[in-house]
Amino acid sequence: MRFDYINPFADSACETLSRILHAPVQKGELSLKNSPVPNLGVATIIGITGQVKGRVIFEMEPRTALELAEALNGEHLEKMTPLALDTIAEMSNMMIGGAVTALNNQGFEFNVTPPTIFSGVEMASADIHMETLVIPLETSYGKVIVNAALQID
Amino acid sequence: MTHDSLLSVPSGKNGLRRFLIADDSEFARKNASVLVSKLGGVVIGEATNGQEAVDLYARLHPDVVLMDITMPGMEGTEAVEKIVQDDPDAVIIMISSLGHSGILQKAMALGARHFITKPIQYDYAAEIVRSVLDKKS
Repeated sequence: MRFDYINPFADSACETLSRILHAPVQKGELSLKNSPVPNLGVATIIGITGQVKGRVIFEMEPRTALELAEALNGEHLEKMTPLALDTIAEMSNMMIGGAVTALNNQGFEFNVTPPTIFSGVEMASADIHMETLVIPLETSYGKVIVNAALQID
Repeated sequence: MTHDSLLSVPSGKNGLRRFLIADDSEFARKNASVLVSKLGGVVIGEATNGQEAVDLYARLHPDVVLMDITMPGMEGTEAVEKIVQDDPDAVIIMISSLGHSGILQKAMALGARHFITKPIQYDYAAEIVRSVLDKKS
């Protein structure tokens, strides 16, 4: 994991989420874990290709996802509807877009795949061992965790 | 004069400006529709991928296309290339979370007129659309 891109990545994700929500977002303490596997209940996975490869997983608790989707759509949602899930996926897409843009403008060359969103309790998943940067972002709707499992060629 | 009317683009010769929105995200299409509404335009079609955008353009001939980049199947840049090949006068504005110079340059080289970054800042985006349409006319 290279630290020359970690901070711009984390800062961009935080700043973009703040712009999306029109509200302050606090970036928590960064940490590392062995795998990007999510476990909070709602997760969006975005693939990274190019000079930097890997995946970024945005995860949050279902209640946070629902409240974020409601806030972004300006309407009450009883549950995680397809629109709500799509809203969270697009929110994640915008966050990663901001981070990718910042890093590409610094000379790194990489692109993203369309987001895939998963929702469910007790999600079981498996993944290869991949050093993952954990970026906790605190919003007024709850925590959004960014798991960035990236490696540079 | 209301704030919203300050954002409006002048009507085309046949009436309101007609927009085609291409984005795989329903939420993103909603936001783009809000932009069109603030511009005083009308959304005449929505595509969820590049191929649909190409097909709808050929059928509907919108005044402006708001085109996402990253979409399943055919990406937005490829759709731009195909649309402009058939209609060099097509007005396509990319609207994407990706704002870095490489992808921008590629889209412009293929025929896009300008670029709006997500999340949309409506006043700024309206200025972009207006400036593109002013240049065209």
